[in-house]
Amino acid sequence: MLAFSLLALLGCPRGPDDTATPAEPFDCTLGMPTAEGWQPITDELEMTLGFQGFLLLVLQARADADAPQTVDAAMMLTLEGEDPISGAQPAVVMEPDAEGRQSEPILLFLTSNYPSWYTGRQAQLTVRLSAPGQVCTVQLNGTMVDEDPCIHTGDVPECPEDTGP
Amino acid sequence: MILLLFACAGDFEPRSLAPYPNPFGPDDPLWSPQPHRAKPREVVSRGGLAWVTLPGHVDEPDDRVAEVDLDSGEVRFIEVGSHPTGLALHPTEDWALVLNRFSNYASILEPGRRRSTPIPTDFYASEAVFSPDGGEVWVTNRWRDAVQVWTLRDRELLDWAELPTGANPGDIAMRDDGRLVAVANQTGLDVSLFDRESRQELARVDLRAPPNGLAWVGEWLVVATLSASTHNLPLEGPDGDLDGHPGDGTPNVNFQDLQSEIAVIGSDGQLAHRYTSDTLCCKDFRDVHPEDSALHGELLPSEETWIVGGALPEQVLYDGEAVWVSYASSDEIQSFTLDPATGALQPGPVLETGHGPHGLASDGAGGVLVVERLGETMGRYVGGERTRTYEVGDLEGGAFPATDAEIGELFNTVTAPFTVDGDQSCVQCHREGGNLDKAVGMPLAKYPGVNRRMVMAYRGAFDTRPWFFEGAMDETNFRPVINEFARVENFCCEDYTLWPDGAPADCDTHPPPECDGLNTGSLDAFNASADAAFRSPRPTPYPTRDQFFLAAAERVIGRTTTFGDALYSEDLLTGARTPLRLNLEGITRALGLFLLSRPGLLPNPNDGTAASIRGAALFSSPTTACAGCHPAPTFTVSTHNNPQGLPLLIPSVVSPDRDALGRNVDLLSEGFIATFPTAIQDSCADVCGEALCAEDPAVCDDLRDLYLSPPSLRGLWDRAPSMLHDGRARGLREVLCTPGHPALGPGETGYNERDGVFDSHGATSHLGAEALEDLIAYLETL
Repeated sequence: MLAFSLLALLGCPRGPDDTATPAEPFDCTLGMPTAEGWQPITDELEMTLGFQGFLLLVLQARADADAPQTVDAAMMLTLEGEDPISGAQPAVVMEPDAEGRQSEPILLFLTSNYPSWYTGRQAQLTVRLSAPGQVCTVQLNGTMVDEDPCIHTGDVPECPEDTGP
Repeated sequence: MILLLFACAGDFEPRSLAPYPNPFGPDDPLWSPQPHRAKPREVVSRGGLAWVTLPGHVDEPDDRVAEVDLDSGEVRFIEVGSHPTGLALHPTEDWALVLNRFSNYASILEPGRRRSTPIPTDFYASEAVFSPDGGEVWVTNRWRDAVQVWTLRDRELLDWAELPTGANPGDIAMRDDGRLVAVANQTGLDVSLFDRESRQELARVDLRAPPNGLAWVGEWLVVATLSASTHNLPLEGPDGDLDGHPGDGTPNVNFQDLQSEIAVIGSDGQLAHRYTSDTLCCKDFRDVHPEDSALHGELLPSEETWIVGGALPEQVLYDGEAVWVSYASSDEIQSFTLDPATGALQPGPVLETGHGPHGLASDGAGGVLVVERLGETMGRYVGGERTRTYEVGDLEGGAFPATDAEIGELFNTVTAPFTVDGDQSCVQCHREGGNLDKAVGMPLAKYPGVNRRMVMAYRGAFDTRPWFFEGAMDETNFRPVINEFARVENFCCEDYTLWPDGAPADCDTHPPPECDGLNTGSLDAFNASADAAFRSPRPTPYPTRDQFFLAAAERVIGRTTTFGDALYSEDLLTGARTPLRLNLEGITRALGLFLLSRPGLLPNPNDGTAASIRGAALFSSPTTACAGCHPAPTFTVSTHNNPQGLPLLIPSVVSPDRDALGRNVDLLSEGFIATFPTAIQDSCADVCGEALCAEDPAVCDDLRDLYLSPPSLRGLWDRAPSMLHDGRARGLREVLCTPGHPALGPGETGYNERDGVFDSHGATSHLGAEALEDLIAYLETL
């Protein structure tokens, strides 16, 4: 696996038609919710096979206490040689906690293919969290993994034996 | 029967209703200019000439009729009223009547005359049919929920009478002998049969599905409709088939229970035949096989009835030889022959059409004319071949679809090619963006097969986000709805039950031999068969859903990406934009964009009255607290309109829908909650503590609550009679009244209570009957 790189990009680059006042950057970090709580993304992007067979990345952002209470999330995942996969989740609540703010889950759906198509491939993930006048953009590189053997399609995860063809 | 004397011509002031303002404008990053479209709808033909109504969009109504010379192809336009929909040809064929839904007058057309003549009438006159002698015309009225009988003399209206019908009457047909009139009550899901002479309603034929179009064939009435199911289990849950026992009587559940159907009704009002989709079984892995007794496959209709070859039967034409049906959601028409002795149909070939076929007419020369509502065209079919295409609408902005929003509009109607079954669509339930008088089982439930959600009108979507009762969806994320049409388990490489450890990485380009086998029949879906004997070959040749969607997009739209005028993938660092592929994700986004861009709210014809003004004061009063959760101008709290900063989701204000065991069957599945983080419901531990729930996580499902989003009240005047999230209330009086309220009529029940606590849905128990009616009068003006 490649080492990841994390860039907290200050001052979001703007679209070609955007002439508004630049947004003020704020710091944020991307992670994923786990059984042990929030964990920062290091070098792996763990996929989840969820409700109705949807494959997705479940992301969660952390930020300082003075970060916006609600942000719009824009996401882009690029695998080498493939079209980028984009996603958006408006009105993501950044809940306050003892260490600042933590977002509710931010979901990037991978509806184009099946887990093994992604597994082991290098990917670049970019997430932009924006609120009026404020923005945080995070970009990181990692390996797509599917280490969770369970299928989370129902109320109770199904974790099949190794019986595949 | 109400007899109304027609106001004298001197009192008449022609008026047209203005569309609701569209809040989606150039300030929104998703906005882009949209071409004008005429949305051709209905057609009549006489002597080598056809007239086609051009209603336009609800938000941008047109006011023209296209006059088409069928031989030369020349098209001229005649100005009529606003949003013309229905057309009726006088028996002399000297003139035709045009019904203008947004104007208070109809229009008379005459061949070769460039101007129309107005006839005063009500707003929302929709469709019409003449008596054989031409002295009478029957006109359906969507606003009044009535049919109006006009008496004519020399094209002048002498008087009219109004006869009540079911909800939102549309199509209408008169038997050739002029003795029986059939009215299709589209939202109300039934057909009214009237004796013309006595003007008595002889029968109300309950189809439990929308009658979209109808035509008489001798003694038989042929109705384009859908399945009667409520998408529940056959023998459990709500009594969907009204047989006095639980269940809807049909073995399929959820979206699999939605079929395209044609009913044949006798002149006595008895249902003689009901034909269903030719793909009833077995395409999708969830389709119940007729021999699968474990899933009550024996309750499926007999296979001889599986003859409906297209999706969303829309209109019916009898041309003297064959019965023709347009299929709006699959871009097809089909002919049938009808046995005059029994009314039985024999299917003929299915022919391709342009986008969104709607109105049908005989061309008088052995051919059939098909109006293609979305394509802006009209096709002429002779001898089973398309012989000509007429541009009757507006193609100046390019062929449809020409923008990303139009791609979404296309998918909204022409959904079927993107479905594994080939027979489902969005607009089957959301007719013209409205709703049906039906609550149906939905796959999002913790207790699937026995829950029910009222079909919602999806109008005014831009400023009423988040969407649906659960308040969990917006224009970006309602992919699970589209997913129901083409679940990944149907596609070999993505079938995680076939490949629990993962398919070969190159499965999409080099499908392994397992992909040639039968569908593995995933058990990871509600009501899927466990019996390998009932598994079918995979329903498509495509190993992934992406390939299936892209192939469908290429076939239907001629492209596999968005145009990029609104929907694109943007590099978040460089700003570089690339169009989205029209896979599940791209199609979802396009449909979401269409819903944002076209409010589709029918202009309200109800003027303010003294009663509604009093009602408005009550609505705004803190003593009722209506306006708290339903603030103007959207009459709901939303991300765009929340003056008091209230939560967008609130605990249920009426008693939850509980089953015989007391369980709250409104609850969502955990998978749904995980997919939609903004959805809220109590956990077991929230209400009963960790210890008790550790033993049985469902132990307190009688106490757990689902939080709901207050629905918008705009357009209530046009909604189905059944209301509240599970459709328990019949009309606004039952919604507003507390149990035993003096305003309730005989047989009515007040549902404004939560587990015995009154006034949980706004305070109304202190209101008298008159005040309650004032409040209703106001709500009808929104």
